[in-house]
Amino acid sequence: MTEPTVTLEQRLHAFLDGELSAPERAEIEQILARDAQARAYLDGLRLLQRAVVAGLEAEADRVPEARFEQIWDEIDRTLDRDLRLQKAPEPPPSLWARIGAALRPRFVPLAAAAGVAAVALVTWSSLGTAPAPTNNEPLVASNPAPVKPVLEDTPIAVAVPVEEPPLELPAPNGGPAQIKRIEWSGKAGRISEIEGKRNTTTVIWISDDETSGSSERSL
Amino acid sequence: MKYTLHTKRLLAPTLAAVLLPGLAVGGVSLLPDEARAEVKAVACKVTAFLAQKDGDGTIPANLKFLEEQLRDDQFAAFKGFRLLETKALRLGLDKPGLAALKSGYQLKLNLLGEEGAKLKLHANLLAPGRDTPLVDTVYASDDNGLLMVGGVRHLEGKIFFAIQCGKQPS
Repeated sequence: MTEPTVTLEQRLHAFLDGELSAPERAEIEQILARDAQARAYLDGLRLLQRAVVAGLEAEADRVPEARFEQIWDEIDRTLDRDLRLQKAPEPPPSLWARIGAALRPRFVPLAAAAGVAAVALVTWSSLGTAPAPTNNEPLVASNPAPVKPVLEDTPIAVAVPVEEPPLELPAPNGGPAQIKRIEWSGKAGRISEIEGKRNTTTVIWISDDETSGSSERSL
Repeated sequence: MKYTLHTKRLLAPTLAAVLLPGLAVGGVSLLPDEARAEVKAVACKVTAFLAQKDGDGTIPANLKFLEEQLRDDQFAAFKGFRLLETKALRLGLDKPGLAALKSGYQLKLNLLGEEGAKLKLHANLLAPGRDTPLVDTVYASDDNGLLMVGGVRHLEGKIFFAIQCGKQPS
């Protein structure tokens, strides 16, 4: 495919309009320097350009300023209309918006009813539950001697003697106990397991042999 | 009635703020207790018994539930067994129990909670006339599982404590 031939006249038009690149301009200037016919053609083009511009300016001078304002307003309106048409259609209302629209007329009574229901539910729950015991003191099966607190995690303030009713537990079952932490104070010890038919029992043996300091074993 | 844009924006969060707490509180309140949290109470039986080298090997009726353990080789050195005392304790979370035995020993039990399907307990055994515990341990046991502690010289033998704890309805 061949490119369309650009005539000298077309290149002169482009030269006059300032549309040529620097090398192209240099080439045209060389042509103009040696070709009188080209110079004459270019002069003719310049005359024609001046005449056209002068005519347009004279025509514009006859248009009042107010008319220009009208033209600009019309252009603005046209642009705005086009922009509105180009905008994406609005998305459908969200679920919240629809719920909100449905509940809008009933918002205040609904909010009040929900609040009252919540308060009533909480009150009902608190009434239906037995009051939590506030006495955290340990239960004591018998009380032969004053008790000195030993458990570090839950200090025992006062031991109140409470006789527990007879306790019936099912036969021992399950696997061995998992010793998480163990300390022997002043005595040694060992841990063993007894495997039975029904269960496995962990036995903590405390040795009577005094050991130096404290014997501690953490598992 | 005309609503402004401001009202529209506030409507959804306001409704949510009013309704959701009620739903949440109501939902939690209506859940069954069993589905809510871990164990809150256990019942424990502490059995103190004496093991002696003298005897005919007979296990008394009140220690029959320990027969399997007492027949084990680890207790082979003992030929006589005698129940000293049985104590019942009911423990709650943050509500420890104390078994003060006639022998002078004190066994303190504390329910720490549940670990997996096991009960997590803290046991502290104090000998008479001593300030420091013989043993202090944290252990996890199956429901109605058994832990035995002992071997300390007492009277004409050695004293042992069998601790059995089972879940109780809170």
